Amino acid sequence: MKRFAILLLACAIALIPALAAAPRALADDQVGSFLPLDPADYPKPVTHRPLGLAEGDPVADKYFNDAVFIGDSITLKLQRYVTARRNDGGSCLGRAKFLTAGSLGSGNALWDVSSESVHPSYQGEKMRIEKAVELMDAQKVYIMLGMNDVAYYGIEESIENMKKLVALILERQPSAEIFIQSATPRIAASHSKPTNRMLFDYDLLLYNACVENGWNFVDVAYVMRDENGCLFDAYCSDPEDMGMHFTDEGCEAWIDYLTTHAKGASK
Amino acid sequence: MKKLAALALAACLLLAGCAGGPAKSADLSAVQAALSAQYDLSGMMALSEDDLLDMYGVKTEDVKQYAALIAKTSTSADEILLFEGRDADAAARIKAQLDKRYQAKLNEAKDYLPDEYAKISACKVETSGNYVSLIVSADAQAMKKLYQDSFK
Repeated sequence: MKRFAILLLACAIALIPALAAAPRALADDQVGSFLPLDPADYPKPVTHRPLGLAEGDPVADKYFNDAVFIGDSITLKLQRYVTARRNDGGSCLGRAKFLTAGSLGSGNALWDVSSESVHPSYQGEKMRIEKAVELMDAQKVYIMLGMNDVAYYGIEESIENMKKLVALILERQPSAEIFIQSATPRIAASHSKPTNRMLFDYDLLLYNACVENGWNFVDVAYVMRDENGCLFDAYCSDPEDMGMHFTDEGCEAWIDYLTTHAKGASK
Repeated sequence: MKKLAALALAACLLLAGCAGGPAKSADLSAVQAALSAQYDLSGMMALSEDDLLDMYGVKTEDVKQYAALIAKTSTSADEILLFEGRDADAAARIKAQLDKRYQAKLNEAKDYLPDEYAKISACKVETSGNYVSLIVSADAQAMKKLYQDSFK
């Protein structure tokens, strides 16, 4: 009996590392898992499935009526695309509003508003993001930031800045639901910082932060990446330059992802 | 005394004459059409009245007529904004909003779009009577001339 107990104990001890590693290896396949993802587990900057909100039937356009999209020049292109669609008489993301500015990041969004700052404007007035969200009375706050943060602040500090920004938004607009979108990749020909590896690692840690804080994660970057984690060339409008901004086709893929990965959507 | 009054009246009439009679006006839709005919504006899109408030803080009640075009991509600073205010006060309010827009464009382009920054720097918000304009384009000077020549 003693021998059997010792054997059992030995087996258990031997299995501990394997048991600890197993869930991590499966983590990106287990949407909603509370085990933090580790970038070291991903040799390539890709996941096999999207993280965060699961796919469902497309939601109606009105789902976005009380939404605001916050972002940098990447989201600014989405804003232009949506504006063009609406002005052509079409319906696109309901009556969603936008708070965008080129060069915006979660870091400089925390700065004081000044004549030199790059805070977005709401109805022509430059202001802090949390104030604009409150004035808009937005109930769904979609944020995509990081492209202007990761290379400058580093990944960890960029995540901390995002947490601070979200906390400020929720302080002013407690009823808002937060939807953090993954930062999208750059084309293979881009070699400057932030690299796709940096952006991917940032996205994984951003996902962890979302799970920890109860925010929704919308993995838009998943549909923008090829098998090597690079932005599809067809989705890139500036291949000769920064290699990160979208074409209309890229915007369509983005909108399609948003409408099929909404809160409460079912399949 | 009579001579003085006559002199004053003559001076007033002369001044009124120098003011050029009725103020010149321009049809901004026609200007937009002329610009579209002369330049390749396929990379730009027209903005609606709702966009004027959302994007610039310009209130519809201040606007008598307008033409507003903006680049379809986020990496081009091209923008053509032509407004006629309902009166001088309205024009002043519109100018104040376009000044803010101009500064925001400069700030946003400064660190990552050097060519666009140079393009914006070469342009400015201008006022003529109740008309306010901001034309940001590589062809801004020629476009501005077309716009100014349209006043009759």
